[in-house]
Amino acid sequence: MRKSNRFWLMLFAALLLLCALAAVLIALLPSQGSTAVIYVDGEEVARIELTQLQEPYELTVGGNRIFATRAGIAVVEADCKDQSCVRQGMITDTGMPIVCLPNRLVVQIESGEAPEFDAVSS
Amino acid sequence: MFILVDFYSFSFTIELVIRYIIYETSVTMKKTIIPLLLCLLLLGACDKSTESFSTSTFAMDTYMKFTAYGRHGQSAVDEAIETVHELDARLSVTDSASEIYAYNSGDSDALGEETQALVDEALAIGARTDWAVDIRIYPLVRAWGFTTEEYRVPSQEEIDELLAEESTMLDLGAVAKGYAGDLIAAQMREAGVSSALLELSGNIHCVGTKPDGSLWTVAIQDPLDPSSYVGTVKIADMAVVTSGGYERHFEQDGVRYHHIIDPKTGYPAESGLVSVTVVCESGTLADALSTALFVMGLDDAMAHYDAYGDFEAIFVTQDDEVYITAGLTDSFTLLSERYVMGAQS
Repeated sequence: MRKSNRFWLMLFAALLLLCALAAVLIALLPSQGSTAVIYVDGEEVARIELTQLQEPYELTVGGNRIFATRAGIAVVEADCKDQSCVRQGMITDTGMPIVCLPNRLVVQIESGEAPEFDAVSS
Repeated sequence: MFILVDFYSFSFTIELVIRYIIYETSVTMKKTIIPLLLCLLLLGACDKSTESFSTSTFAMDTYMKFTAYGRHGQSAVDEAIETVHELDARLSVTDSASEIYAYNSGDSDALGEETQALVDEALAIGARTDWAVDIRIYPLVRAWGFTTEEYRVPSQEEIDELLAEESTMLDLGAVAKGYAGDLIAAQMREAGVSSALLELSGNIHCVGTKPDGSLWTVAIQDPLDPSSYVGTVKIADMAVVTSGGYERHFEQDGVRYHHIIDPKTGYPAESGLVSVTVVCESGTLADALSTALFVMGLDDAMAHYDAYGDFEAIFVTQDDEVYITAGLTDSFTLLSERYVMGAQS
């Protein structure tokens, strides 16, 4: 094999390795941390690193009581009439956020597992 | 003599070397291009054309999120927020500064050109569905308290009275979000956006395909379990709108009343369906039709599909069956184990 051939082959191999490494990194990174962010009227009011929770964590934001565990986050109590945020239950991926319209509250998992779809029609 | 021969062989060698160098450079040229392309491909991972821009807002009594890709993304989502608030201010039935509010208060000249066009379109859809959706039933919807969340069950007398009198009031609730999606999608296409996802609460609009050229996957929420999904549909350049009694309802004396009022009976529609999803290019049509088909029930809805064919739909029945129109055979996937595909009639 010619010397120059070997050089390019090595370069190809190195590039391929780099690609594979990048792919593995990209695949692994999000699962390292799942972060829930709570907004009121568009302003961030709390940020919870779910994967770092040793035990369930509770907090009250306005009229909503929020319950977070390593697995996900839920609104468990709301002082509004429609209760749709409570009915939604726990969210565990970056798909649908929990929204409490009357209190303008949005609970969203921003980094973490992504669902296998782009949006939900409801 | 010896020297001469040697000289010849020497020149021959030189020629060979030169030819070899020429040959080798042409080969290396090819070989450098490929690695160069590879490097470009790697750089492509952080290419601006797939960068995403998201923004969200509360408008039209819902939470909305807009995501656009590419270099026009940021300006596109900013413009979308402006558009939706401008529409809300114009079309809201409860905002005393809106055109609709003024019209409902008796000012028959209150509607601007664009609002009038939307009203006409909504009325046309009403007519083609034999008034299974009717933007003029605002007095009825208001009597049930669905616009103010002061829920109550009106007496039969009150309902009969409201059904009998000719309404001069409008409520664009059945089309406003779909129309907003149409308007924003059109603005984005004009601004050169080739990939965007508009989530107007549960109304999903997509512009083009995903940035990588593949189809968008939209999940249909399970009417019985908000954290589960009936199935998914794969689309490009479409609106997907779902209507169901599960979205907004209240209970009184053990009876559940939902917000989709049948314009003919004045009561929440009981048609055997728990949710209807409409897929078509026009968000306005999808929005209005999802309500109308829900009110009609499966058989009439399928007949409407056979008659018009300008939309596709997914129906979930009270008996946990899922029906789809012919055009969705390849793009719909059932996910939930709760449901079975109904036999096509």
